[in-house]
Amino acid sequence: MLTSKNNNTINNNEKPALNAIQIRGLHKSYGSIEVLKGIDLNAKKGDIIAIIGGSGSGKSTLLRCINLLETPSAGDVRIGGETIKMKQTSQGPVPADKHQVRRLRASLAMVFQNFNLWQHMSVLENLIAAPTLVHGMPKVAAIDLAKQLLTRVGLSDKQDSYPAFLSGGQQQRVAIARALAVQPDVMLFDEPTSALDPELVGEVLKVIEDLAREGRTMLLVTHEMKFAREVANHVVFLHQGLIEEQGPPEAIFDNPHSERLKQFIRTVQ
Amino acid sequence: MDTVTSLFESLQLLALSPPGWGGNLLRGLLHTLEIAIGGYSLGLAIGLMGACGKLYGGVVVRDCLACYTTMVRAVPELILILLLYYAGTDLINQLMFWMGRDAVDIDGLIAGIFVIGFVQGAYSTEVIRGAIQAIPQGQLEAAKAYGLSFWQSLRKVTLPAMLPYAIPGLANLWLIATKDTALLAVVGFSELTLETRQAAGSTKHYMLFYCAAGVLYLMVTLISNRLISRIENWSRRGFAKEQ
Repeated sequence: MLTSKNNNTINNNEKPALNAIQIRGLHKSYGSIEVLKGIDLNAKKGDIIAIIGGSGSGKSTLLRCINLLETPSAGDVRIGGETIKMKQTSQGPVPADKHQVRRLRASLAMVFQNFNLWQHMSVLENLIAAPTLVHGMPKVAAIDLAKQLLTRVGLSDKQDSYPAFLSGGQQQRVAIARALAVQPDVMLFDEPTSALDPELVGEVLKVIEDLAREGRTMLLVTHEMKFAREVANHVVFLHQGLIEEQGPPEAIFDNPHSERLKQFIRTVQ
Repeated sequence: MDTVTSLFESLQLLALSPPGWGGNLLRGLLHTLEIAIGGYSLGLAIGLMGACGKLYGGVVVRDCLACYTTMVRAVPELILILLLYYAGTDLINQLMFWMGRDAVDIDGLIAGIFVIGFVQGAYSTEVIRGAIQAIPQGQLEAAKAYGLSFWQSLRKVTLPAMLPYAIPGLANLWLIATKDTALLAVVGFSELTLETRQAAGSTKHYMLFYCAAGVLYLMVTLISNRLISRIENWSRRGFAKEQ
């Protein structure tokens, strides 16, 4: 039923390649609890979309459905114009083609709330793992790129350290470098500063801000409203699994229409 | 004076060449180590596959493995060894007969390795399964999110990341393996315990020989402990030191 809807979108869209990510009618339920209740979202190339909302609004789930860390219950996700193929099973829909999933995941990079660096690998090993294993980059080139990226996030002296020996802010900067190392089309940030001590938030936001200026496509789930306002060109406010309001940051933060958004902005400020 | 001479005489019984029995004991120790290393390695291989089967396998694989680990861990090892050794060789010979071949003599060493490995495999399966489950989920999620395949993720993330959680349990199993070899004495395999019993029986110096065997087992444990703690430190390289 959703495929026909999807075909219309292709026909209506002159240049589907410009859409980095397209989400149509996305639902996600855990048992009887419906977390996402039909999300439509478009990210054009170069868009920086901030997804905001209270806890339990489904914003992390939405992000995790894009790279299939969560399997959508219904609806479809298109990455770079390619729809992720799903098939029905008795346990609900699952990805139909795991090679496609791997290929599409390889074009995305995710930065997690809890960094999720591989603890048994040094910083440098963390950075070259995906480029060499998934993207077939020669090891020498991967190491070269990794060193450049570490310099960029200000951690060139930490390449041989293990993640557990770094501060939270340093770990998250390594995680961002790891994401950059796969030269992704789209970067997904899942509350990248929520697990950090307040004094470490700044250094991570600064790195993300620099990336935003380069015109990278980013989807950013965040609680940092000031940051969202400065960095994003589009803000999406999620409430109870639905997009309650969206628009440019000025409109969302200065002139909110929905009562819930007004209330949300009051509570976070 | 008398006691010193008699002590000296009895120590001469430990000489490496006949009439001393030291050489026999050392040969027994060598066999013990061969079986322990072989059986332990086989057990690790079974354990790795078993743990992956239990965690990622289908219903049939999981049920079969549950049967295997429950049965092996429920039955006393001595009985398992007798059962596998005698019933196993019998089964193979019947199979040979069935296929129209002559009965074969099963090599004691191979049989011993197989028996110990089969028993160890059940315990390793559980140790490794627990260790894999102890890995912080986020690290496996990151591997997925970056597009690593199942096998890449297993080789590069899951297995190295589970090591620090598995090594204490696996180290225990190694020490148990070295001592389980003694059970093979009952099927007549000339490992350290059987050699000791023969030496003690022939000379009537029970105290001397059993103490000597005990010292040899202790040496194996002490040297193992040194090695294990080095391996453990290496596997925990990514862990911040506890204060």
